[in-house]
Amino acid sequence: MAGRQLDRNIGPSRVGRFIDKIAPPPLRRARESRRRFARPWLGSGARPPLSEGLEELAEEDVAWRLSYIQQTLRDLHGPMRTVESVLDGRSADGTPWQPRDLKDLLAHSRNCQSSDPRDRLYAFIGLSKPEYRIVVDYTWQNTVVSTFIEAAQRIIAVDGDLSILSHAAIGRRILGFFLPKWVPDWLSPVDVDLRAECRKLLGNKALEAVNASKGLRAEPAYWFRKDSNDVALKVEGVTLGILDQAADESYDELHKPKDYQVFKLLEGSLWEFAVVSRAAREGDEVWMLCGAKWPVVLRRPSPHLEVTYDFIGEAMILTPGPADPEAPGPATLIVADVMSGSEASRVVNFTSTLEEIYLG
Amino acid sequence: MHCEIEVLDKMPLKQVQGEYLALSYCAGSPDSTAIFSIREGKERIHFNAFANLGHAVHRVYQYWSTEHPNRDLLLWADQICINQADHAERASQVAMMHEIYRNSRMTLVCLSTPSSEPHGLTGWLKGSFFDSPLTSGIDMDIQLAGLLCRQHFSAWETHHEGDVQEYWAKNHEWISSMQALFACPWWARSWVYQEFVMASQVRFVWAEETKSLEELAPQIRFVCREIPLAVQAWSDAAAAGRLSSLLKDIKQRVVQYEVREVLQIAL
Repeated sequence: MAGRQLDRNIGPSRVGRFIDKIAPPPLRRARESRRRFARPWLGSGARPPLSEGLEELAEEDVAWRLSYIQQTLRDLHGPMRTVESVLDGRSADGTPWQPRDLKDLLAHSRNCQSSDPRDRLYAFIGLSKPEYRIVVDYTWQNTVVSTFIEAAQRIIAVDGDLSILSHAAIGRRILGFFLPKWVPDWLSPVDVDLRAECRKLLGNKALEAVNASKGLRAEPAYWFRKDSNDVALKVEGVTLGILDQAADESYDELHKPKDYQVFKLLEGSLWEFAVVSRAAREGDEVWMLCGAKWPVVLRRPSPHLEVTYDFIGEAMILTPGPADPEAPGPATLIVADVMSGSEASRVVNFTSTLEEIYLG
Repeated sequence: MHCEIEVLDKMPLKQVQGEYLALSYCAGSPDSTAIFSIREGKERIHFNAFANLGHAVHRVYQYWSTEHPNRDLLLWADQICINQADHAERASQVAMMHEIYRNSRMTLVCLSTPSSEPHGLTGWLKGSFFDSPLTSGIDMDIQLAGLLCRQHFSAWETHHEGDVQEYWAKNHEWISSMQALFACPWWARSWVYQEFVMASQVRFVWAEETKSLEELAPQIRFVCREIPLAVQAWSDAAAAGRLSSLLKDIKQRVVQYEVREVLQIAL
């Protein structure tokens, strides 16, 4: 209550009138600018003094209120991220608008809703670079599946690499079953993100240098299957290893990640371990693909039924670091050299050969 | 409220650049519609449109007529200005949509719907201890203390009887209006992103309240980033039995802050 009285006695109204009457211009200006910054959203409404109610704030009250607010914030986590993502769309410093990378825009689109699913793409092409040349077609013959396949082809063509694969691996719950595995399902929100998990595991810095196919360009081509809508993507790459057995328990420092698993690579590979998604299983192959920064996990087609590889996800390849004489036990795992392009340079030097395969 | 809507003939965008307002809203359920009556030349056309559009047009008109009492409102709204049944027109308008928003005088984003509670833009700041997070010197702990005891006082004053705990949870306007703001479907619509990003200027409208993007964005960012962190820090303090010393410290800082503020006003 004391605060409220203070406000009334020497608060803005009386002092303000006084200053407006007698103060020289600079002081008046200073006061005005302060008024503008002080409480821009409160308008003319009186603000209760800060200490009001604070005296009565007992410890047990704080405890249950905190838990109530925490629950509310937990429920609001998703909506808050969406709102922030919308706000991030406009540059804060007023720099003129620039066309964006369509993949980044569609990553935002995953959080969105639209009555026509094709709008999840069409609503964003106006903001993307004109080179994508995606044609808006609202006729019923143009299905959302073919819309997404064509968009993925355009993105690969404009990007000149396979960076789209990192989007294809995360979140395919809604349309994933109907799309070729290398085409992202922009309708599904991101569920698990290997890169984010690896960042937590290994730190930001370790991931910055990742570029497994350094110096190798993607030259994608497509193969349209006659009897279905399937479009296979032709890529070039090198097998790095085969997933042998889950090795999560054997290495403490890796703290078995919830959404990912660590596999030992089959003997014969130059590297030892791979962090892969839960979708990967024993026998899957780890490949370095031209134009893809991260190695990928592929499932080899069964010899009689299929000719295309299934894209399962990305992989982080690890190897034991130098042994520390002061700390006995297994050496800490570090990011393997293949992640920063050792195999790619072997290809460039003709000590390793690329193989052509199709992703289905 | 009744307002006369007249559809202007097709005209090149260049000709009306910077003169019209563009409307961004969330269409909502197709089951909930309103009848629009518009004049096109001498003809009068009636058609069904989303009820949310009716609400948004009314709100925008209200805002405009307060700001510019004697001027006609020139407004672009997708459902009125695009023939939705014509695939070709829809596709061509979709392709130039970003230009429509870019060339507008201002884009008005209507976040509320006919069923929204009032005060979605200010309810979570009303009567608050919040000062501008960007310009004030109040630290987060004090702001959070303010949030925690907000309406506590009025709860005691008006409801001496009954469960204060229940009263607080039910009537804490800042929480419910914050929930309403974030849960508002506009944020998650695909189309609005382009409308928002391309707009020359943005003003948010919620029932009778309006607020510019420059005002609202820092407040939202503040809530999204700072409040969860502070609440977590306080909860950790409570778990470690350090809550009473934290509160004591904050009370001291609040008193210091108030003295400083009074001195500044007096100067």
